[in-house]
Amino acid sequence: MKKALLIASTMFITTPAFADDHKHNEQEEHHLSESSALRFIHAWSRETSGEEALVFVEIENTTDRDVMITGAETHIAADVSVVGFQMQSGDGAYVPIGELVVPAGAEMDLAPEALAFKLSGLKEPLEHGAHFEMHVLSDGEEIEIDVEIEEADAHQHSHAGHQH
Amino acid sequence: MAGLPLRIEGLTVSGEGGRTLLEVPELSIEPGTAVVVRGPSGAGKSTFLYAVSGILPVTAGRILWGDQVLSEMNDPARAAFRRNQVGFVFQDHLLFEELSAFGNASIAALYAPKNRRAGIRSTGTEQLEKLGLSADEHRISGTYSGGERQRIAVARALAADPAIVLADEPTASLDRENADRLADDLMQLARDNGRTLIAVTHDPAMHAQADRVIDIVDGRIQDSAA
Amino acid sequence: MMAFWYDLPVAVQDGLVGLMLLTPAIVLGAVVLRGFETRPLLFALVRQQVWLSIVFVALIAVSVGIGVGLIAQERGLRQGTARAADKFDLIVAAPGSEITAMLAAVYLQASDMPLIDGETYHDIESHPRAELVAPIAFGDSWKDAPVVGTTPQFVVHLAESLTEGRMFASEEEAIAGARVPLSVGDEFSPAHGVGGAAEEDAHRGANYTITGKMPLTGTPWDRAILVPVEAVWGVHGLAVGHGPEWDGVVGPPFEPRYFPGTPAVLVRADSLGSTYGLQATFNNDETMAFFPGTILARLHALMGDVRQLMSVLAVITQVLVTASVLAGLMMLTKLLSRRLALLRALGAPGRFVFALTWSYAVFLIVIGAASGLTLGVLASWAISQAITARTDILVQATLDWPEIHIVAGFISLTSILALLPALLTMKRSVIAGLRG
Repeated sequence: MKKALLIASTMFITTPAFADDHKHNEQEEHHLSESSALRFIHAWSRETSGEEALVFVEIENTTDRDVMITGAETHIAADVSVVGFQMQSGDGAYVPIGELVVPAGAEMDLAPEALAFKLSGLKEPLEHGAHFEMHVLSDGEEIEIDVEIEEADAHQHSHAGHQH
Repeated sequence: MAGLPLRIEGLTVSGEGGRTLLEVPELSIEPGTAVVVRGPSGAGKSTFLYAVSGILPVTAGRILWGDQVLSEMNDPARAAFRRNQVGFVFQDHLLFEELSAFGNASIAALYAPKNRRAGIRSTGTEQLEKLGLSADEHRISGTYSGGERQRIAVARALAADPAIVLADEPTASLDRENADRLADDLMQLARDNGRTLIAVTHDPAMHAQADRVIDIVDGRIQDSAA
Repeated sequence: MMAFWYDLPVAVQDGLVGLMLLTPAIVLGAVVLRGFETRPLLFALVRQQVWLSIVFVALIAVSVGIGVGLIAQERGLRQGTARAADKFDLIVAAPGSEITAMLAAVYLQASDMPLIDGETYHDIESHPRAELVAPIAFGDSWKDAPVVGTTPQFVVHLAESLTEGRMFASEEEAIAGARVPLSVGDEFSPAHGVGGAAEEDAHRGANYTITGKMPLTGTPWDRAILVPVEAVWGVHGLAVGHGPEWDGVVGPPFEPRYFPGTPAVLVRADSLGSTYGLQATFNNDETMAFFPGTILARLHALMGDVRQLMSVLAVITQVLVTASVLAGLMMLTKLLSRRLALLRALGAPGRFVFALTWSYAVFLIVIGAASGLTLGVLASWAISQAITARTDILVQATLDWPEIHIVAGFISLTSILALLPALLTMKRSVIAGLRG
């Protein structure tokens, strides 16, 4: 497990936040990815052997302008789209919402029964405890985030509550 | 179906605790014979009937119907023997009262092989008619009189055209008139086709018509010619 | 194979699952009954023990009915509460409990809530992505009907069109929900507060005239009276949201300086993505913004665990009842033992007697399960009516696949269990049976 985390944390392309005042040990730092405008914290998904999965993550816009997320991709799925949860005549469903605007200075919580990245056409089963990489496209930048796979019935990231 | 000869050798039937219920050192009955078995209550008459029909397994000895050794057959084989060769008339008719006369008479069709079902149903109807009953499919047997119900039981015993007819006190629950009529019908219909008939009965009317009378006392056969 | 399965329409998948669950019973039936005609005797036996058979069927029906009813009811309630929240995209309120705010703003279960001030309201209203922003100012009532202050735009959003009359145009006018016992032209005087705490005389002198009626929506808003939010402020002696040179036309725009506050604001954005963007914007130190749909879905997920527990309990109840029914059947076969012994004496194959006893048990089980399905739906329908009458949330309990699956599984499981009494009849002595 430790080894996997270390490998994962050394694979970053963009600048993972190795902030000087970081209070946690280095093994946890892959929970945070940062572009020039957005911070992605605690990306997670659920164990599944199906064709689809949702990825949840907390996004912070650290600037004073709206930042647009235009897309995402990962090698383990054929397609990634942004979806929003909506009640339609009494039943909940995730519907595609196209581009996602993260308002200036706001925190946007991609969480179950709210927003998510939807992976379609999964090429391999997602197993609890494993990780995969996902690239989020935003304002011409590509941010790599590390997605941790939680249990099939998880409702939050196992590190939720930690302030990275 | 023509009657079968019965041969019994060294037969012992024991009940619970090993008590001997019936002993028949030797007995032969010719095919097509009408035999009456009599004796006091508890002497073993019904045991004899249940043994020769294969309902009751034997403890020792042999029972042969023709060349079929009934006493060496297992349960399913004895059941098959009964359904193919034996027609049984019980003391108090034992009908399915919710079925029609026809339903009871042709009951064997429900479990017979498919190719025999039509034959059983037509023979059942035929026997009912011979016994003076109509095959009214809508009238349940429970609504018939005691005499009529026992005649339905006779029709049931003959519907599968058995080689052997066994009857256990067939007239005991009937009044004189009905008893006489049933005795006549049973004797006559059983003798059709030269069937072998063994009837356990106290009824003198049946004794009088029998080819042969067998007495059982204390579980032992006291054979006496008719 | 899995890909093929996922490509099938959901109804086909459900149907196939139902069939799969029923397969053990069907296969068992085909094997056990092969080559026999058990039906005439089966009906004869049922007729012979008609009252006992009815008792067994009733027992099974009640246990299956409870299971089916619970599941159908829970789903009906879930969908009903969700439907009632359909029109409420995003609610903005002062920070606090989202559930309290949702119950108050969506389901009109009044509670004291802090107010959103004029500046904040103005920020929401002037957001470029916001299409509809409306105050939901609850707190007053007339008899059992909550009186809610809002804007004409909200009424149109909620009701789409009025069944009768016209929109309120001044502070003295009101729109009544479909179940409010007031007609167009009727007048009423609101009370301050709701229920037992309402102060009847607090707004003495304030009178509204009903100018329109909303269509039935199947939500608590059917029992509500909607008035211009200016009127709610006015009767409380507050500023009315507009400056001194106000022309008296109710509705937006409001002036922040004269805006006394509202406990909740409904926000509708130009797209779902924007609505989420608005939520992120207004989820801050001064306001909380939430989707009632999300809160409900999370509550439902919580209820989902209860539902699973209920399903398990329902199945356990059914199996227990079946076990007692089978024990009863064993006694029943004793009652039938003379008939069964007779069949064996006549030479019926043991397998036939076995098949007859089994089909008797399964006949009672299937009739019981089918009656239970009907009973469950009827009971659920009756409870739904009661809930709708009490809460005005339209709850529709209908038969759906999960219940059918449970019943199919129940039939299969019990038809396997029914082999037991059938086997036992084979062990009984024919002679003992004949002698009764």
